[in-house]
Amino acid sequence: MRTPLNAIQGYAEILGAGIYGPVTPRQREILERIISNDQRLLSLVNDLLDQARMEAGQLSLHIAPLALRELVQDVESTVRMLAENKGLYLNFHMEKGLPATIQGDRKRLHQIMVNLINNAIKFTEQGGIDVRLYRPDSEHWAFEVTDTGPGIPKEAQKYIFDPFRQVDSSITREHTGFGLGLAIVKQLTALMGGSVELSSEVGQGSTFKIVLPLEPPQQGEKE
Amino acid sequence: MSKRLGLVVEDDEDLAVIFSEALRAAGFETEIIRDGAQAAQRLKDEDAPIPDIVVLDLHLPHVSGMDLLEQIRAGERTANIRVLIATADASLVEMLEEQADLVLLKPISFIQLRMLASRLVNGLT
Repeated sequence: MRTPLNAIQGYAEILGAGIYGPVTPRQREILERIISNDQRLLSLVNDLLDQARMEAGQLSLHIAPLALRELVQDVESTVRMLAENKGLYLNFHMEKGLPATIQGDRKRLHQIMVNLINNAIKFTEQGGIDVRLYRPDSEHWAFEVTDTGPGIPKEAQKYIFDPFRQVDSSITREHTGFGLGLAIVKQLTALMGGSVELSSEVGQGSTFKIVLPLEPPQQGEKE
Repeated sequence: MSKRLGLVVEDDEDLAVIFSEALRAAGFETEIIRDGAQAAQRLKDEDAPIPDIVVLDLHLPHVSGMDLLEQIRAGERTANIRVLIATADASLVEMLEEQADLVLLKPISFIQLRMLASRLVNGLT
């Protein structure tokens, strides 16, 4: 399903490399737009596939030991440019008391963190984002993503984690997506035996907090 | 010196073209084979030139990429070919790394492959 989208990017890169003839600056700009639209579509397809798998109970986690610091570095390198391009600050804080290594699904934890941070970047126009990792008690670790964005109205907080819902259709038009990012975050977190908490007020920014067990539950067979 | 030879074994037509163009951009002559059994035949053919590098997909018709990799390593003529595996399955990487020279997770970009193919073969000489 993803192969054609990867092929589109590959062909655009071939043209961009100039091996079939010189590329004018305008052509290069258009090729870059093809690639960036292709990547957006690819990430939407990935979200839809994840959502479909979770609805079917077909998404399984791959739990293995992973170094928290490396995970955070990976996440940072994924989102850093996006924040800088918007002129936003992006700070990561790892507090004392966190274990060096945890048990978890590296790919899915990366996805949860990147989703939350991307969301924060998307809706924040001024200020920036703080990401804090800490250990709330002996059995859990947690991370919080706090932004200086517009905040989320109380009514909207009730359905913000529902798939295919976005807060405001006028915002949807500007921020393309299926409204799947937060739904996937919530479902993945639940699969890991954790919880998501949102605290937000209009005009005061938002904080998404994820609390996860240090020892994730054994995955039972799902229907 | 004659050009180095790269063999692309990939059943998807588009990815085969993109991988082949990446090798050509890196200075290789290329051949594309889209079937596992044909690739096995080609690699056994004593009259055909031995490729310097093989870009190998795992899911192939008739003979799997995994089996091809074993045959390459077991063959006297082919044992030293640089093999670059293209797979979407991250859980296979560790196992494949023992026999392959490089394992890349799909999606593999043209630019990434062009760079890595020359590095891989130049590292040899």
